[in-house]
Amino acid sequence: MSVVDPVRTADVAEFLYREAELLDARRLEEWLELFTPDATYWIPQGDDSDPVHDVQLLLDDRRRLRERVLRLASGFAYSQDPPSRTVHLIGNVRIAREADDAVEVASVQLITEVRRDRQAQYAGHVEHELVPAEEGGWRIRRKVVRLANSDVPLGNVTFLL
Amino acid sequence: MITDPAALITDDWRVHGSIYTSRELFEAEQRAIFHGPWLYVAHESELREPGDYKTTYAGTQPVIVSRGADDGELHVMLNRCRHRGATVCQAERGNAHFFRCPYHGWTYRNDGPLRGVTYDDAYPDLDRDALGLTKLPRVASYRGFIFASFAPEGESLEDYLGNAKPYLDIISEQGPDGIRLSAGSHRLTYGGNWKLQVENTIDNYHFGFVHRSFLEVLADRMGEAPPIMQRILFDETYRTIDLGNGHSVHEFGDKRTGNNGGQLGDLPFNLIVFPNLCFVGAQLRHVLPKAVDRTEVRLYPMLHDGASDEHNAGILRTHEGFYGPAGMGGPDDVEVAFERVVDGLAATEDDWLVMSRGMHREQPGENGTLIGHSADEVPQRAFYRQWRRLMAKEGVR
Amino acid sequence: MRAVGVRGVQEGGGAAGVRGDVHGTGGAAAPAAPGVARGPAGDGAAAQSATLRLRSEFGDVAVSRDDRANGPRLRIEDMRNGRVIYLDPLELASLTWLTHDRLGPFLDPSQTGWRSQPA
Repeated sequence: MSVVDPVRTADVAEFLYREAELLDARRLEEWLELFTPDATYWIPQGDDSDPVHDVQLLLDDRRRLRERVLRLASGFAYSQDPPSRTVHLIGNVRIAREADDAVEVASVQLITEVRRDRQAQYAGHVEHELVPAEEGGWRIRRKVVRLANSDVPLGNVTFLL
Repeated sequence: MITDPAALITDDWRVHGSIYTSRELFEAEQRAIFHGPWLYVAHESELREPGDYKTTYAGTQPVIVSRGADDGELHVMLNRCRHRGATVCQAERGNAHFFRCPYHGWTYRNDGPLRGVTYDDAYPDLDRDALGLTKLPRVASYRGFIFASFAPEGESLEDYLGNAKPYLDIISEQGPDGIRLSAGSHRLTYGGNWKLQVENTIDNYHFGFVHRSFLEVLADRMGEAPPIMQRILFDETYRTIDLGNGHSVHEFGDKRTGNNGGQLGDLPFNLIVFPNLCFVGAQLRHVLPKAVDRTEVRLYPMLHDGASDEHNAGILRTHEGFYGPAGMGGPDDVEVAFERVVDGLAATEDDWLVMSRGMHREQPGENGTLIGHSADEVPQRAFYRQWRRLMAKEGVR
Repeated sequence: MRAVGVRGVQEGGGAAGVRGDVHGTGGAAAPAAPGVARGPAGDGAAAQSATLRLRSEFGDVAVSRDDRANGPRLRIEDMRNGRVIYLDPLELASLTWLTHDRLGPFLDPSQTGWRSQPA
């Protein structure tokens, strides 16, 4: 049984908090820079869904993730006009697996979103695959957000999770 | 207050806002619009084997669509136990030759008849034959699209579909071996009337405004302005057509080979089959009214049978880029075309809307069709012509 | 070989029927995942065999091959009430002549596990 390394766990948790801070502050260009060129960002729909055969809420490569950020910065993204105000609450941060070149981090995230006089909550199990960044710290090679309400009828989830 | 539905739409195409907000009209629609006409319920690819069933809605009523265990035929029945009213099937899709209600164990064959009840000594005179799941009297399938009607008599499905048939033919022939709806569906909800979604399905007038941010993404991707807006404004092969019976289509050029230049792998046309079935992009869109001001929309990507996994995964990824609750296009419609319209409709002091765009330049086509320009409101007028006709017959108390 | 007919196992009639009122959770209506390899529970010197689990919102069974008798049989266990039946190859062959409608009496709950008088 592997021993939990509290220093390493705190280090990756700190990275997750910093990512969330950028999202809550809507500093999306800086957030985009946290992703590697070969990164994927996936919000599954339903449990056990297979992206090859089943429709997903969102499954972006780095190119489409950048387009998403571009759209939100255009000033004409009406689904985010006004923009959502979000607060990310992150807990249960664990290193799930250490590989040669990457760390897999599991966490639980509760995102409170306020927009147009309404408040909604999006809770999910989140997986990050992190690789060391050249300049020190981490970058995201893969992020999966498994929302509890992913297959419930949804309105507008175009703020980034 | 206006109570005659025919007066809600004037001959010069002013439309009264109460059609979206009146509870009485919504209830009248369930009788006039959803009780007689053919309603889409399922695609045959969702029910390939005997025993396969799907739960969905006909209007606001929950129904089960099943393929008979022995006869292999399609059956549509209310998802409501004849005993005390519980829904009998909970799964969105399943396979069962018999359904057993979880409340008291009443058991039905999957095409409706009551097989038996628990502890039946308490029912000395139970008339089992009269207590099967209530069936919709007419079920028919056209090119794999399954429809049902609450009315025991009326025009055939083929007559009902009329000029929409050639487009359904083309849709069903995508892919080497046709299409299948096996990828699940996006589920959207918004706090507004169901007709707002149907109207917005063919509305090229709004595209350059509401979806401007997506056009900018396309420009970035292609390295130049995408051609779609120029085509909408000036290409005469881009046209809207009132197909009769409430149906309408927008063709992006030739109905088989046309392309909207939007890099979405879309069909060569967008199609509305009255009252609540649409085809847009690469999806089948089923619009479910829940209340006068609550609608659920199901978006089913259509995969190509006989094509590779890679090809079909590509259809899904492209669809997800624009459509669905996290898409880069659809949610802008939710915001502007639904939510902000709902907000604005509260200003009832002057409750008339204008749906006359391009009225003066509608041209008669073949088979009783009416043809208009790409960004004209021909589809909206096609829909409401039929709506007004059916509602006037029904009457409103 | 035990003379157990297709008409059903009589053992535990009424009591099993009462337990049969307890319905399991609906669960997803998915086809069975093949071969979870484990032997039938509590059967001592039973031959190892893969168990097929078939679940829908209406029923939940575990099906496996049984080799403890002088010939092979199919063991079917209702996971909601513990009832078990063993079918021999001839019985299984005869099932191919069934229409689902002819199964009707077995689906009528008052003729099986939910009757007021014991069998």
